[in-house]
Amino acid sequence: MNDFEPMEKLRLADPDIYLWIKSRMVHLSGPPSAFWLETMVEETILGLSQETGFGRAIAEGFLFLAQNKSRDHVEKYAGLVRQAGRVGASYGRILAVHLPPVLSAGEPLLNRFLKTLAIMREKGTYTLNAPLEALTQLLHEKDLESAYAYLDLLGVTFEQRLSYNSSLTLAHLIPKAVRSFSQKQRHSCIRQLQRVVQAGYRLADPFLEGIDRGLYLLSNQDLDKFVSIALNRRRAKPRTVENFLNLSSLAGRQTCRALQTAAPLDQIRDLLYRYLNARLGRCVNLKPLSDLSTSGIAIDSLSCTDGIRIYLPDQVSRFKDQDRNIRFYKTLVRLEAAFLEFGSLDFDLERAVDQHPEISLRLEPAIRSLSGADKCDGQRFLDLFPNPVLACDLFNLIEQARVLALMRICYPGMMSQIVPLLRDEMALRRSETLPVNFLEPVYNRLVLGLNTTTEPRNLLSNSLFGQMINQAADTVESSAARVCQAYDWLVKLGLDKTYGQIRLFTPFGWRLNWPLVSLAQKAHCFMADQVKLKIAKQGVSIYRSELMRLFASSRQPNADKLKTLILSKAGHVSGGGEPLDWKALGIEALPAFAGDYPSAALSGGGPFFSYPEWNQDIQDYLDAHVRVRQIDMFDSGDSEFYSQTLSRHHGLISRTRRAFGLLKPEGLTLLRQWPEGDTFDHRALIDFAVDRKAGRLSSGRLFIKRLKHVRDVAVLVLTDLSRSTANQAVSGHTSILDIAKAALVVFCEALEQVGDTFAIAGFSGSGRHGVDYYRVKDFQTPLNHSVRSRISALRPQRATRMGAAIRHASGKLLEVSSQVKILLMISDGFPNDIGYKADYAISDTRRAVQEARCRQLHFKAITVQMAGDPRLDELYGSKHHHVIADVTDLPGKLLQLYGRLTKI
Amino acid sequence: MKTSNFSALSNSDEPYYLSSANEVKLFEAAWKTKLPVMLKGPTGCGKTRFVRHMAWKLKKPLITIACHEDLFASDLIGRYLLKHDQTVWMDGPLTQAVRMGAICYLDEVVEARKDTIVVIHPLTDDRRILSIDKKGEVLCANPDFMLVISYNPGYQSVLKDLKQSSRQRFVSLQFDYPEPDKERQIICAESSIDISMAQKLVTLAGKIRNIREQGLTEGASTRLVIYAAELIKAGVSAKDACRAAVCRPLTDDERLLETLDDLIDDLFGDS
Repeated sequence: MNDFEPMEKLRLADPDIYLWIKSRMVHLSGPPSAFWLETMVEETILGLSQETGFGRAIAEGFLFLAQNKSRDHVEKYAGLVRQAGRVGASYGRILAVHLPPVLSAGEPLLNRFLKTLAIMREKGTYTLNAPLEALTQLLHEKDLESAYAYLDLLGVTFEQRLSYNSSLTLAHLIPKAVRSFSQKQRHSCIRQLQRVVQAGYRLADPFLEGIDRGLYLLSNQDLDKFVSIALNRRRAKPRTVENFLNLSSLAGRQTCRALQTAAPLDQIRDLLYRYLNARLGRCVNLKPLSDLSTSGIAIDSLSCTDGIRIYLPDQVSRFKDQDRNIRFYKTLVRLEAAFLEFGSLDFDLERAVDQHPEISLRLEPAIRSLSGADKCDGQRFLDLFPNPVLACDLFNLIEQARVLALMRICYPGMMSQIVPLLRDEMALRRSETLPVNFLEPVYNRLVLGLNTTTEPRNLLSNSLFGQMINQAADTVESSAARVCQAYDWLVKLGLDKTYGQIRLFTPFGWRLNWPLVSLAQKAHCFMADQVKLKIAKQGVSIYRSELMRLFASSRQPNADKLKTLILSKAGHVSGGGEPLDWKALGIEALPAFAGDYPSAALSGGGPFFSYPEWNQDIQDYLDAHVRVRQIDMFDSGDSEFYSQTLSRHHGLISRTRRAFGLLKPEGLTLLRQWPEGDTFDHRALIDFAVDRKAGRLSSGRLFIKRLKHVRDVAVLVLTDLSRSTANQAVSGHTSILDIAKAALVVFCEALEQVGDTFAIAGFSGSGRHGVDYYRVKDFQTPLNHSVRSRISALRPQRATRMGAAIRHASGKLLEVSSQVKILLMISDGFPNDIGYKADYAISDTRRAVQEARCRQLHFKAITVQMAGDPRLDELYGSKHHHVIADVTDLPGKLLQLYGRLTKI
Repeated sequence: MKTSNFSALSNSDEPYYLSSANEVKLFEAAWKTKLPVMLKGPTGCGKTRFVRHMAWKLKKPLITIACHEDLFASDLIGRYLLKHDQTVWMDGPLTQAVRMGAICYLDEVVEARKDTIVVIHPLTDDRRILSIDKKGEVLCANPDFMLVISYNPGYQSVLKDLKQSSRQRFVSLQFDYPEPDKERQIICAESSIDISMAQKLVTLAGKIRNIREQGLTEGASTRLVIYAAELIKAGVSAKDACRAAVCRPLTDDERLLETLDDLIDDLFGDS
């Protein structure tokens, strides 16, 4: 029989399916068996006769099974699907789709699957689709352990007496939750969910809420303990268990905290940010290592840095004590910060060659032929060696020795904590009896300060690196020079050829990751090369690393700083500082200084206002340059976000209400020498007596009167609604705007208490003709349901043209008659719009702020989600802005700031 | 009766002051040309010490008045007091300074009531007079009289800002924390501590100032660093001294304190 005869039948039955299967069969590893082909065609045609979708699903299933070539699986699949088809096409299709991966996973899972399926079918076919999709996903991820647990969970859940609605809810809730669990914790979470559901299916929802709120931080054993405590409580206090499980009760939170030993990055990121900011005096972002999983760069360390960010484990559970885990995080940050502080990542190949002529001779031919302008200099340096792996390990060894020597001088306290940890880690490694790299004893001595034994290899190493042991290199370029020397020695000894199989072990994998640096600084490298080339044409030489540092120092490149750097270099080179042709340099035209954003079409609606814009190049205003459209926020009638925030921040709101309430009695004005009052004014009394004695006309104003102080304050909160506010907060799973909205809710509640007049507005837009000003609450509008729903409805929009928005808001604020007027702006970064970038945008915003101040408005800005940037001082003035690195602190900090600002 | 807190300084010992820019020259010029001076700067950066030093240098008495919200015009100018059966006029510190030709220093002037600040206005323009209503006397200032106010714009409430009508009567000198080298010299001179320890304290202060905008109202002042140095000199361990004298006074926020403690742990060993 012709192999393709069955296919001919299929072609006659459904030419489309035939073609589709033919195209898929091309990708099979080998020709399918005749049995497979015949069964597939027969079952597919049978399925097609019931419903096209069913037939296609069957064919898909057979194609999946064609990979493992098991006749048994094919038979079972055909039988079970045919059986299911008899029940109905929908059920048949579900089984046809989800059965193949189960069959491939083996007989025991199939039996468990069929048992669970029977239970779920009793509730209805509608319960099958979503749960089985999640199962298929688990099997694709080869997580069999979780798949078994998941099937048990489904069985336990749908065995219970459930209404139609409850079944439907659980059929969506459970698979969604299982998908959201991290792979590491998935099995444990499913098992605990099963225990909870067994106690009552209504507890599933609170438990899953609790997982989101913090239970995910518990180790598997601790989660088990937590669930046991919850279920025990259920016996004693059945009504409170839901609040306990979802961590809305204090007892729940306290229990969770007490059990938690792991330290998640999210929880301490703020602390580490602040430490880095203090130590380095600049902002360095902290990112989880998991962010690098898609970068394509091999990460075999617990932490690493690319010069802009420090990558740390998502969570540390190395020790059984949370404090020790936190301390471990700090250790990793301290080590990585050392590379940044002592300039390891500022390595400049050209400078190394300039400073060390001995290496220039050796490397110069290679430098001339350097390729890969997008690589950082560290990587380019290593690429110069025939064995870059050996060079890399040598560089790490020598540079770490330099950095630790400097740390011993600058931070003796830090070193007394870190060195024992590094040594312990090394000792642990030695106990593993793994093959040892011959550089390791040198590392022990040079970096860790350990006394090495007298093994022949150590003696060899000591002689090689003898002169380095006593004196650490002073710059990273000197380290590079020593790498060249050491490399040459090893070449002479013939040790370079076989090097590479066993890499040098460093504690916690602490090492310079040049590929990562190259990846992160690719854009800066490219830009620095461009600028360097242009400057070189003017006869001025600047090192690439100097330009890179300039670009990395702030989020947006600063043309002024670049000019200053060029001038300093020009002066240095030519002695007198010859005039430079700035036009020829064309700095502002470089991509990083110009940038581009798609323009948005103008849309109608709302009154329009024209405002001037400050152009720093001509040092004058551009008249009626910007058009602001005032839009009343749409009242959706849905204030759910507001009410949810009220309940979520219940504690903070009640605390703040109390605190703001306490402001009132303190806000008393003491009127002295008053005609009537609460008590005598003794100074006035003396004056009275003196006047009487002297025969002068005495004043009868002898009293002190206490008057409740009238807070005559009006505040307008202007919120940045740019698209970047849709980004997730550094800690937590909500967007920046959602947290800003939560802050607005808390702020509204507090201001209601203190009685200050306030308004709320948002701004965004695109292009100079499309600045949108969203009115959320006017000064006269009471805080009603409509305002609440408008706050709830705030959404991220487009760009940030700050100057115009500030001018418009200032105008609104000036219409109010209050004595003190405050304009408070919440933003997540710098202004940025079409034709409104970098220095231009900063100068216009600064001008708008100055205009506001000239009109007796108090302008204060809060920048969230940044660890601080010196350019913020330029933007708002050094005393008039606050940085909140972690936006989740905003609700609390906003109130603190406002309280301090308006304290009488 | 509540009296204003003022103190006069005799010109016996030279108060230590290390100049950081041209402030000494400017102050001398202002004194010669009879212009009032406003000193602006963060807490503990040396404003008061500067005034004391200048008073010594110019060989003029210094009268310092710490301003507060209950400071009245009569607290500055003076008042009649009853003595036995008689009424006796008692000059206030400002009047004393105007009469004798002293330097009158109003510390933290924004803390004073706004109507009190108005009293100094005639003294700060070319009239240089002080009107004593109670006595019906208009006092012309001694040629050596000089008015100095200090003002810290950083932390005040917007409700307590200095009015333009007051601000625009003064020559303003801006102060900030000294450069690291100078701060180290100051610490060594003030506390006789060794130079390496002084350097560490300066490094700590610099790092704390890096996070000024992250919850600290102000950075670590030179005054606090000197306190820490003095405690260390008195035998307290460096870590304890820094915690007590530098960190705890700065903030009550536990998370911020943890960062400050981490910085101290980095810089100072167990010894």
